[in-house]
Amino acid sequence: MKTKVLLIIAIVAGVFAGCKKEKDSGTVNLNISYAVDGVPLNFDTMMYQNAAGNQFSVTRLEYYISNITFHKNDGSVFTTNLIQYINARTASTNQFSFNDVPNGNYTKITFNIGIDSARNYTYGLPTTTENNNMLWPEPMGGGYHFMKLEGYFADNGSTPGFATHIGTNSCLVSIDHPINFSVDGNTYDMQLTMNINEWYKILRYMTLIQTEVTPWEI
Amino acid sequence: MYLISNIMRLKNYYFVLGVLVAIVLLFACRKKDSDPQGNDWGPYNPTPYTIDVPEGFPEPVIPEFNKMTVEGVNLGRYLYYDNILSSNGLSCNSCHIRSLSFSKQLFVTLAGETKSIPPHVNLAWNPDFNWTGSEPVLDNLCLGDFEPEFFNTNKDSLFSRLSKSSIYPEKFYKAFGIEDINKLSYDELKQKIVYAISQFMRTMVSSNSKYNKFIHHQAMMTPSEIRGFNIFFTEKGDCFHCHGGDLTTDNSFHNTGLDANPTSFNMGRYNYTGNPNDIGKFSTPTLINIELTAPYMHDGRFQTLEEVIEFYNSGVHNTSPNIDPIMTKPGKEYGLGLTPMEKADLLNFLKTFTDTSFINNPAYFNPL
Repeated sequence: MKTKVLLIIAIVAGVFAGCKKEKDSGTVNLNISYAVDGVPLNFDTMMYQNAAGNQFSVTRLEYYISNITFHKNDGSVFTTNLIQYINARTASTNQFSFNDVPNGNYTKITFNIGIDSARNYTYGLPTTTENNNMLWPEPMGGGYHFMKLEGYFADNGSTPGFATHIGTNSCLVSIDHPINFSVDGNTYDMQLTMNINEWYKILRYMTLIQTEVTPWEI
Repeated sequence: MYLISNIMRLKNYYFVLGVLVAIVLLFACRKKDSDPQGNDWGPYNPTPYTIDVPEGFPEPVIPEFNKMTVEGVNLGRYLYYDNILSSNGLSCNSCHIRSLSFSKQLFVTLAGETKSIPPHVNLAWNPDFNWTGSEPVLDNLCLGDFEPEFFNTNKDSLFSRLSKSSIYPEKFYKAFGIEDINKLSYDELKQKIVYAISQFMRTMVSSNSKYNKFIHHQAMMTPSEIRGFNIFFTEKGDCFHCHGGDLTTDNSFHNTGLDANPTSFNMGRYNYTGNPNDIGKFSTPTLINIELTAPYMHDGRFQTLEEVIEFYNSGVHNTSPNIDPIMTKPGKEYGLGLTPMEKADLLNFLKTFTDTSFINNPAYFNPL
């Protein structure tokens, strides 16, 4: 009799244990924001200064981010071949999610600003208005603009414009940056901040500020 | 006695039955779909019209409230050419002439502003209309045409002419299910007219210029045209930044340095948004059929393409507020530095934007 009761309890416990299944992967929500040496970017405002001492404003920032990959120490990765068009003025293009990121501790993020050579050719992307407006002319190599960064700068009383456009396969930008977060079946918010001034320094293009990785309970 | 009364009852029965059948048949005949005039137009069942999207084009912008139908497009085509809408003899094609890619030279507003008339081509891809982008919806834009400034439409005359016409009552029924034009309010009638005309305009699609074919490797260009293409599509001319792609427009707004200190109409989009960053900005026009749509710029200040080329070559006002950063890139402080041969090549290239099949397309002919 006693054993029967114990057996029933064991079975019931086992059933309930089975219901409470551990998720073996989580979701990472990525949000990209913009700053100039820590000061949040406001468009059309001549209030920023680069390392050369030029005061400048930003009027346009459009680019492609692609091949976002999270790396673990053991070399295993979570990667997508997503090519995301981003307009820094349009909030919805700066937010996207990755589902099914396997549990574990990630120590590095890598990605491209631009499109890898296998996919960077004219009409290689869907013919949306945004993609069409980013086309890089065939006489100049074809494919797409990787980035358009434009604005004005103060120069002895006048304010000429500047236009930093990146394109062609040899100019693909690769970012490699340490991170430290663990996925444990939940949802996480990750913030990347592009420091505009970094584009105008040698070698280093972008500083990432991982301000919050907050797990949600599901 | 009993037999006679039975026979009489039988006769009455058949008589009553006959009358009843006659009444039923009468109602059955009258129950068909018909208008007040008694015409039989059949059930209201418009045929969807789908734009054949050319290679390289994005998806067109078709509003949910005015989906395209064959019957709507047909009605719109008739109305586009018909001065039945106006009290002054004008129709849409008075200022939008097919041989000029549905544009004309200039329009002077009641306020005295001179404006260059935009062509009606590839409008289904415009996110907004007017030189300042002040109207995002094509169907709303056309509502303004009933005003004294354009058609000076007389309400009573419009109702009377349309409802007594031998063709329009049926066309309005087949396009919109309207059985009696006179039962509409004036606003409803104007809206339906505008919906039909907008549907017709959305069918005006151009993708057969030598340029459009060339960029899809389906046509050849002369050496001069290719030299011009290379000026247009490199930083030599830098035209592609605003006038690139299959549409030859980025459908955005830019200040290209037309005026050092823009005032009134020349302040452009600022007059619509009130945003100082928009001073001097105008919408990027299409270059399709540009050879046919003189004069050029928002106020038609340039009569010829040669003048336009010379403006970009040496006439840009660098100090114009909000001048587009593309215009003042390093090396452009003193203009483009084009040689006479380069200007000639660029001109020859601009003429490759001409689409003869578009202006000669029977689908756009005057049906009246």
